[in-house]
Amino acid sequence: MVTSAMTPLASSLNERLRRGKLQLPPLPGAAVQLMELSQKANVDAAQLSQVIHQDQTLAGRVLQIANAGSFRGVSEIVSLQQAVARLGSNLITELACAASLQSAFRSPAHADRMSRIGRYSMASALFAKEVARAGRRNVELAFLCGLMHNLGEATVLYILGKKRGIPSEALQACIDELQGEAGLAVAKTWRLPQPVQAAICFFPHPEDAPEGLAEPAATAALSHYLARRLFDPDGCVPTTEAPGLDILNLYPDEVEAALDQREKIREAVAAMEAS
Amino acid sequence: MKRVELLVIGSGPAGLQAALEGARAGARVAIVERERRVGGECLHRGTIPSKSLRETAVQLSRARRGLIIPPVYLDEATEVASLVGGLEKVVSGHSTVLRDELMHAGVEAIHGRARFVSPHRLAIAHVRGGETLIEAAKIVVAVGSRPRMPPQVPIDHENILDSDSIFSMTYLPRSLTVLGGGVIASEWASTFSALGVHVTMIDRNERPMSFLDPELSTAFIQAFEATGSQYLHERSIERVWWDGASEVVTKLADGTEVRSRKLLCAFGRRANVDQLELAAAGVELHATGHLATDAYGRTNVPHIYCAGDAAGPPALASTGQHQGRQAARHALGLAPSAPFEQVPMGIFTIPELASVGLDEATARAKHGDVIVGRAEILDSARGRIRRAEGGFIKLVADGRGRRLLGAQIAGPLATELIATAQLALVHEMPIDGWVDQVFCFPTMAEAFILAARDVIYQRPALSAAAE
Repeated sequence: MVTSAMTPLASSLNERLRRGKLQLPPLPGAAVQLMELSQKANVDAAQLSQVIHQDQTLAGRVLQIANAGSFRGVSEIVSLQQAVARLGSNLITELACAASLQSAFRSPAHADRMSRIGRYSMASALFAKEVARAGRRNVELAFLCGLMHNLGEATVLYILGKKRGIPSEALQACIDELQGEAGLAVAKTWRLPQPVQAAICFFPHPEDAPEGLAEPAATAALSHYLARRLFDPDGCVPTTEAPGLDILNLYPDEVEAALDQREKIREAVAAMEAS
Repeated sequence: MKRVELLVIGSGPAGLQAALEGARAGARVAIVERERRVGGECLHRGTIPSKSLRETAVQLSRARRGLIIPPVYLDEATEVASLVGGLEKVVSGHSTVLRDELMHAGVEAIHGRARFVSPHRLAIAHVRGGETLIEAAKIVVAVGSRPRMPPQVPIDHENILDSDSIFSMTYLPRSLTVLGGGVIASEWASTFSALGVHVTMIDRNERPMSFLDPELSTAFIQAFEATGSQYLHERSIERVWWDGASEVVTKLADGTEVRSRKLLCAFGRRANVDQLELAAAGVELHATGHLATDAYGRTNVPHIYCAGDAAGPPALASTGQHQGRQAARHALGLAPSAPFEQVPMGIFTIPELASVGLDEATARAKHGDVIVGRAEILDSARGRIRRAEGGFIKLVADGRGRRLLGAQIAGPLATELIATAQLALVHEMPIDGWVDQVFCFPTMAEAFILAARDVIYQRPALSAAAE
């Protein structure tokens, strides 16, 4: 939606977005299949390895992650099947899914910011699983909601990937104004499941989500907040003011229990970044 | 500080009935619910969602038997959510009805998590922080239960699930191990089995739901195993683990290993009292983890009652409702409404199982001679039209064959049919009263008349005359 309050940059991008004139990031083929696998009950090691092997860069990256500090065992992992056997198909699927998505978003002019999104995205995904466990909700779906919730911001940076020298305030304003629309455009193009679309569109204001979709949006909002508590605790609101608590009906001590996983999550994110 | 005559903690079937009964008696009543909406686990996570999925399973199993053309088979990629379309509307609609009922009754509903600070005073914590103090002359604890987490079963809610998280699975698994032989284990096992999942049920007892008439549990096992699933009885679990790749492994004490894609641990439930700080009120827990109560639902602290799952087995919605009502009545000095024996038990397995009053063994132990009248569901025209797979009605009468002592039913709509026997029992209808009735034709209720006639034909005088 174009509003008079929009900055000129946001307004121009929004107009092009609405007309379908912007090139949106393509969803890597492997990511589509990995997302499907991530929610499937019956994934075997061979099936998973086959999907990851379709993208050799991805396969290499997954092996690097599997051999990184917090995941590595006594001996080096040399094959994807071995990685699956060692770390489990769920974790490998999640790591591969995250790595595959990150590869879709290149933004040379805003590389630092993009890697920050990657870090938040992975941490939010892992926190989302804890949030889901606390409320006995679907853990796999929560992971995807956390992983993809900041797709809008990543899309704006992708679109502006070659535009250097944008003042940081103008860039932030552009992201704030466009992330919902941009995220939704990509989510629809990629045909993401409805709860994930809701997480992308409504995580800044989960209470605005339509009936039945408020919980995934609130899960994304709360896991983003927890990721912030992990990486940028200064200026964070206290737990009692965390977003999404009313919708998820989580009490402050339950949120703190999810936060107790922070070191494990920090290690997983570090392993991802080191690869 | 707020003050009420009756404070009910928990708004599931037991809590709701306690609150409504208290309001009906003219007391000032408040009800505290930790979830956003009233209705308890029963409405939001348990009974209603599981019965919605079961309904689909029943339709599918009928279709597979060629009763609906063409038969429908589900593949592994079937989303569980797609099998319970409209569930959110059912849940929110029913929750609204319950909320309105409380409102009309004048019961104040408070959203928050309760904990005792003294025998008569509770602090209600809110999601956004802060607490409200409330004082009550009488208190009914109806906080429900949560799944037990045995140490040898590492529940992760991803591959190794409990009865609260089983419904969060996205896709139907190819195979499922169910640990336990209680009502919850049996209901989920038969639902997934009817959906085409290969289910292995592992139980330490000789038969599932051992509190039921053995004929009922036998009917369940026969139908369950006919779908290709398996019931392993008198086995104990040594260890459960996720193999890290694709399967959950269950190692039994006899060395057997059972592998499945997912596992449901339904080894009973414990009272949901962890955050209630019962010690501040002096309330004692039974060794089983439930609140110990007397016949009126009173705990060791006379003004504090307990009803529903938190009070222990049988932990059914119907028994919870009865307990809630009785607890409120006793707390407010009113006479009990109906004896516990007249509360029906309904088990939503496939086939459904239901019981009211005494079963055959209990009746024999209590009254000596009894006469049991039987009729097969297929003996009724409607049973044949439905092409029911087995099922029966069993009427237990006194030794003279005059008075009804109880009834047990297995088969389609057993939990509906039992209401007829319940009313007969409550209003002391003689056995001949059944035969004098005309039921709609064709209905399965006609099987009651056949069962009653069977009792009459076995009466001592008639038996002697026949000889």
